[in-house]
Amino acid sequence: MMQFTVSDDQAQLLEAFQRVTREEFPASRLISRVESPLNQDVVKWPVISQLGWLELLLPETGAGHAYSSVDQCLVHREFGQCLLTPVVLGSMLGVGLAMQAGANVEAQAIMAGRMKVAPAIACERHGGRPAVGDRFYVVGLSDCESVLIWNDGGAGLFTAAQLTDITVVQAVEESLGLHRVTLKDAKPQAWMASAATSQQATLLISAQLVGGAQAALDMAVAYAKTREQFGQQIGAFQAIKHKCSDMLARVEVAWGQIMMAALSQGDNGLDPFHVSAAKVLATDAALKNAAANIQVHGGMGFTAECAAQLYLKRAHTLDLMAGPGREHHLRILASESPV
Amino acid sequence: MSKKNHLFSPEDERFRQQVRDWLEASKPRTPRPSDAQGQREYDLGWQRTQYEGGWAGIAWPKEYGGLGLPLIRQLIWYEEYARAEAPHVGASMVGLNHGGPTLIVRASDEQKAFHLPKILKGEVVWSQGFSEPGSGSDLASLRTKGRVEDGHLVVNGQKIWTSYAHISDYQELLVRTDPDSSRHRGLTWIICDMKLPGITIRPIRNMVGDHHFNEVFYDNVRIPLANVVGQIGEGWSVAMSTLGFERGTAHARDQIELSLELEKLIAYAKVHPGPDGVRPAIKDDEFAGRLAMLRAEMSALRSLVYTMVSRIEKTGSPGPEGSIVRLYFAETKQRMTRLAADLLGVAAIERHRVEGLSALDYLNSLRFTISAGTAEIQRNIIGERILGLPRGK
Ligand SMILES: Cc1cc2nc3c(=O)[nH]c(=O)nc-3n(C[C@H](O)[C@H](O)[C@H](O)COP(=O)(O)OP(=O)(O)OC[C@H]3O[C@@H](n4cnc5c(N)ncnc54)[C@H](O)[C@@H]3O)c2cc1C
Repeated sequence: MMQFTVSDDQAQLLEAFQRVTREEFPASRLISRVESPLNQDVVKWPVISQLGWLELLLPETGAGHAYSSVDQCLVHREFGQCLLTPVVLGSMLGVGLAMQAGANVEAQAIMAGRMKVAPAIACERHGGRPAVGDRFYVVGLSDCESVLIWNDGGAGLFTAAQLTDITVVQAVEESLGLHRVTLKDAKPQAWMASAATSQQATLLISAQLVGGAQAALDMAVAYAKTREQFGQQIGAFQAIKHKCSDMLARVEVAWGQIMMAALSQGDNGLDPFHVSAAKVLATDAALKNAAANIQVHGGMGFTAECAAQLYLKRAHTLDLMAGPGREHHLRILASESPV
Repeated sequence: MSKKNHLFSPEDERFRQQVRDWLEASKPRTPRPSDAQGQREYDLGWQRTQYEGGWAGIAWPKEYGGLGLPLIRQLIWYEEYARAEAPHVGASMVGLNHGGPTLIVRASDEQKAFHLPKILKGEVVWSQGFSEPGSGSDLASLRTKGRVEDGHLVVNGQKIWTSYAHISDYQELLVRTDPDSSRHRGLTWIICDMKLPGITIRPIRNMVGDHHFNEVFYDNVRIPLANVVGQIGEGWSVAMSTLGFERGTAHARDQIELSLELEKLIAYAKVHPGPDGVRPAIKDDEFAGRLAMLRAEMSALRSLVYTMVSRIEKTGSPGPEGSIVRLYFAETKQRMTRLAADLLGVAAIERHRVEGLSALDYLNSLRFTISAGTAEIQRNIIGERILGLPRGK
């Protein structure tokens, strides 16, 4: 039987990450800075690169340690919990892609932190190779030197010079640094014609979504234990207690499926059914837990001063980044019976 | 919405036509400004236009500037108002929806004569000072103090989540006037002039980025005792009237607005591609099912509002059943705005509206299960006050 619970090694790994994330990337960094165009995490890029995070998806890292698919999910769950900018994910995927495509100079530049990769979301959902005139939303474009476009057909890196009609857009998640762009030169710097990057991206985003769902749960439980109304902690009301229990159940359910997906890694990559199943369940957990956390916080939860809203907005972004739910529904049913 | 229905008498329908014609000719055509003062002037200006057109306070008493018509006419007005896409009631909300109605049933003749015409003429903005940092759902635990001193109530304490406080002239203020009292006893409902010395207002930004609610601090604010509504110590019962209006009748307009939004959503789904990128979204079974369900729910919501209006005509108050309307409205709105976000596909990442739709509406909808009593509190009211289930501790 494969390990579904976290091993001692993995717990240690996680602890090492948490020491950094809790110190350097507390959720409070994103509060009341909604107007600021400065991406708080890009400022910390030297730290991120020195810690070796950017090369963590490679089969073998510089330090000789290889992170399994499950390890990678654990790390991304932590990234989701601290709402790390999606530019980190873009850059991590970018390294692997550049390596595979033989673009070693680019791969080295990304790992060294000299080149950052902005993840793109396709407006045209044709799933084929990006074509001239295709439109994209790009996260963190003004901080990045490169853009990562992926879909089921493949994945590739592009430069800002290949884009036109670059427009700043106000995202639902204010701190995202979002642009809408049109591709004017569709010849990628590096292109891999396989669904591998897309599957990996979807799985890691799912792990981040579960991280956010967990953070919302933790916040709700902590508040339910301290906030008093009618002379008792609100967690004593079953309406609140059951809400928190449901939040935990959603986290467990989604995480379980993420393990299924991570362990489905075979010669042909990850199993698309398991990945899509992980994505829809992780989205469900992240969106519902974020909304429930706001509800548990009452009026406070509806303010910009409370971190609760951050998890809802991030869940919204990540949901779309991994492709709208209906696309995954269709894939789930298109696959053969998983049992 | 264009379907004829047979719920209204021919006279009602004639009234409806008059309302429709007037609204079409008179509704503001300029967009609502985005700054607080600009909004105040815009909302009050539009209320003044309604007053001058002879349409303000349809069910309010004639002697205070209203039309003295049955509530059903008010409902017709709201339906046409929403259909005409007239501006949201905005800063006039508290005065029209529950401040004025509370005064009508609980205030003295002098108070009514002074305040009601001002509300109808669009001269004043009201706010509601009930919630405190330590007292939200448990309103009866509130601690802001009012001390009686030579003809005045001297108020000290703090309120929070006060919508429109920053642009308001008067406030429904609920304070504890008997320091030895606990819970419901010893509270007083008083009209607070927001220009009085000793009031400090701090804005709180909400999660969609708007400045809508505030913290309000009271430092020896001296309010004449003549402003007490009901008697000193009777504040809880007056506040229950206020909440009854806030949870009940205020939805007459909201429900129809929501139905119209759904119709826009259906129109959108007919022309924009769905998840397969080819066929219109409405051809997708899941979207079609959700849209259909919502259409049924909207009609039911309308029936709930009609039932409530009939109940008020009969008994004079919306009763605890108002909580059913509130809850159903709030949760239907959340489902509908969620569907709108899903229909937008990846464009939902933007705040910008696409043909009137934005995922921001979903975020914004979360307020409705918190304000005016949380969804959990509404369920407690339904369980305990309608069903007679035992009260929890
Ligand atoms: C947009 C908005 C506008 C508002 N405008 C105004 C205004 O103009 N004036 C004003 O006075 N107030 C206003 N409010 C405040 C609103 O009335 C309170 O937020 C609400 O009553 C909840 O109180 P609270 O925020 O203190 O949450 P709490 O009461 O602390 O509730 C926290 C959580 O505990 C739950 N809970 C509490 N008690 C129970 C129980 N007995 N059983 C089960 N669950 C329970 C709640 O449902 C909630 O989920 C506004 C709020 C919002 C969001």
